[in-house]
Amino acid sequence: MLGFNISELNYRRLQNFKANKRGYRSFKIFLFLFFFTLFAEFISNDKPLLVKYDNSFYFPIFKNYSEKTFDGDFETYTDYKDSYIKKKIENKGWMIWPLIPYSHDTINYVIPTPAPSSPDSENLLGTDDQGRDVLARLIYGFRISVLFGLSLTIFSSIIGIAAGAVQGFFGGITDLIFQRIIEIWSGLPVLYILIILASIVEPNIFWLLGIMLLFSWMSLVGVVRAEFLRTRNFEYVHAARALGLDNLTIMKRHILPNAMVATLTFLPFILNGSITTLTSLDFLGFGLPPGSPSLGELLAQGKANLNAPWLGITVFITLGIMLSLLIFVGEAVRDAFDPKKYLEKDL
Amino acid sequence: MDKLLKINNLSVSFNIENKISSAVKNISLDVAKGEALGIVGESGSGKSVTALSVLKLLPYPKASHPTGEIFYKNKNILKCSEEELQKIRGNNISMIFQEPMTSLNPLHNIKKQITEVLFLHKKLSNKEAENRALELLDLVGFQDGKNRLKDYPHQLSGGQKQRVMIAMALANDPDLLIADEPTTALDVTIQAQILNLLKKLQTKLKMSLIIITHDLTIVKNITDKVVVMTNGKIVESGKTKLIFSKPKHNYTKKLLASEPKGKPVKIKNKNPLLSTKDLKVWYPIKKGFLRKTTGFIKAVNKVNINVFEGQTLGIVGESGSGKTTLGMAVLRLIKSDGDINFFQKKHKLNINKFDFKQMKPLRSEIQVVFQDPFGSLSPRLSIKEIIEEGLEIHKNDLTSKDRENLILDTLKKVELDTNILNRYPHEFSGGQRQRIAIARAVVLKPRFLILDEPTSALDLSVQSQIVNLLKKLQKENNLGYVFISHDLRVVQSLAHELIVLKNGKVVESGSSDKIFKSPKQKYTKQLISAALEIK
Repeated sequence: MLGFNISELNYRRLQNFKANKRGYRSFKIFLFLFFFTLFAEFISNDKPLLVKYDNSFYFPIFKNYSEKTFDGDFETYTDYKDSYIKKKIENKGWMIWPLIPYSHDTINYVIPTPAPSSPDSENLLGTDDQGRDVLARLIYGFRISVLFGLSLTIFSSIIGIAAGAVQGFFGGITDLIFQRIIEIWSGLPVLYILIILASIVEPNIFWLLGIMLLFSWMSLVGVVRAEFLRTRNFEYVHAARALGLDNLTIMKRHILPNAMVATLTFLPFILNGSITTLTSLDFLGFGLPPGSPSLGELLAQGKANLNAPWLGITVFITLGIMLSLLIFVGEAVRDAFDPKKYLEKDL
Repeated sequence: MDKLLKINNLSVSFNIENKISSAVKNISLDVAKGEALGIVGESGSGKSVTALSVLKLLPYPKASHPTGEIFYKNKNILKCSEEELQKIRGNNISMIFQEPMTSLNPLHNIKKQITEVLFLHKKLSNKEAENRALELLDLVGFQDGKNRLKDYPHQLSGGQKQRVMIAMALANDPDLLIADEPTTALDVTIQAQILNLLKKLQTKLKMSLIIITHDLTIVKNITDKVVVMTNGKIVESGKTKLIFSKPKHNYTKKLLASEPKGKPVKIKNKNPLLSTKDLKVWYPIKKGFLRKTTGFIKAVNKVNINVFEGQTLGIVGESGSGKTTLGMAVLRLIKSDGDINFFQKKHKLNINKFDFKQMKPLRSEIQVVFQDPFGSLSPRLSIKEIIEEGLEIHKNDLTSKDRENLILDTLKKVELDTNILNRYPHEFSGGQRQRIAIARAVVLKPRFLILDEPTSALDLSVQSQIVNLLKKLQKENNLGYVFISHDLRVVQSLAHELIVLKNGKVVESGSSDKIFKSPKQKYTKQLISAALEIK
């Protein structure tokens, strides 16, 4: 099977995952969108993929060439959208453009109406109020949102599960102290702290990730702790102790799998939450640095330009679809790990 | 005699994911007024489903009745509307469930639990209801009912809870009481009390009684008629006396013979294996702001045990007597004081002083099997992973192929199919799970096994299979057992030596034959008479 062995167990999990048709379909769509936007530079860019000029090939996406290369006048980097350069290159060769010939920060100076201009054959979803192509910004914005959401989810799950596991497994005084700390910590007004911190440091994506991680790890602690508290006195845990297993192995092998279903059910919500938080921070203007492609910023523009409904509607639909897809995938993942699902089928 | 309840040709089917499985197939039975009927069968035989359909309590529409009718006083229950049913439930027909621990609402006190039915069906005033509740508690032999009306379920013992359950069921003077395994979860001594109570109440209140159980001995003395069920069918029915004296069907004969019997395995030598000296597990009681220790709960108090190779030491006592705590202390899973000596090729090791690292190599020699076959296997690990776990720690020089062979050998030893490696625990019955738990312990080739009520949660016929398996393993491998149980029938057929525990202290000890024949202490006498001769 594809050169590697899938154990029967994982195969059944996979079957269960696929059995949830809505989730499986959502997963395929999401995966397609994710990979599609991962290569955003090849899909939507203001530089051609390939240039043939004077019998030699150039790859502008990977390397910057100066105008002189194409017999231009200046030492500066080539602006391939400039009609003067365009003409020069086309005289002695050809260019292959990406599907959408705009990057997220390309300003289209030749729009028919003042920005924001409505959708037309050139800018399929119109332009924003600075004349940038909405579709291009959407593709880049989707990518950054998903990547940000995924990394925040992964990091906060790791911290949250570890903290919850320790509290639940050891219980007693450890649990007591940790719980009080979490109560105090979760009492902090997150949004204000984010806003204050964002005004002190120049927020780039890593700063934002770090700051939000400070608060987002707590969401999983509760469920994981509860599951560990419940399970730690089960007979199979005693049996594992009697076999001579150490605490770490018992936690990992015997208790964590039980906590996994609760965790996995929460994951899509955390992922969605992270994406929404980033979007809302961007919307308020405290998120990613100005000029970065972000769904929140586009949303803010939609609000500021109610006369240009394509802005608001586009982001609304994108966010709606993305968040729903993730929830459906989450449901299917939960089904896959639920051993009771097998039972129903075996009866 | 007119028939109070009549079931004609009843079938019950369940529709799960478009697959129809029939749980009960064309059964007919009837109960006359003031009559006691026993429905006997193993788990999965459809006896509980039958009882639940009498009150239409099955998960409809998943469950359905393709054929049959149930008449209560000439009223067809299956055709009744929900409102009519509610009038019958708890008023004319009452039910007692198996698990007293979960059948009572933990957030309501006793008074509220009992009076709820009274308010619902009789519309009594608060004062009247309270008086009636007291009367009922008195009736079911609940002592000091007046002062305990405000108690919550967690403050009661298992037997007391079951008495409250019965009081609730009797609140509206039902014509018919259905008891679904009313004593399975209880200690033997209390089992006998509850059964006697049910019988007494049935004659006193002239009501009809249906007792559902897997244990034929229970119905022997309290029912007039018995129905034996297997695989959803009635295989035999008739007068209780006749069934016990002249069983016709093979299955009934098998059930009657399934009581654990036989003698313990012969002892080959008398090499000591494990002994304890003055073993104590005391829990401090802390009071006040400074948490000063004011006293101790003595869960295990100065217990000495001696186990020899190839021999079984039975530890008996009611729940709360400290049997399980003693087992856990010997396993070094909880802290204890005193000596635990483990003998290894004539070396005497006091393992109570060992730390985790020193203990680790010994873990493969001292293994354990727990009571609850549903809780003792990790639900999310496959059977192979469960059995392999110990090997990974203690025999990590084996290749994965060797390990798999060892696991397959062990599965054969415990009489399980070898093609179950990738399946999960929930796919197995209680008896099979217990075999898996035994396989997990035995695969390490231990010399000493602690068996903590390994048969208590199982059906009677499965119990004797497990006991036979344990005997076989003991004989083949010269294993030393500590067998903890409240069920003296099982202990009798397995143990050479016996220790009777009460409140953490040894009441009586000695050879098992002697104790069973001539118990010296009153407590021991009580235990034995409750277990072996239910009246």
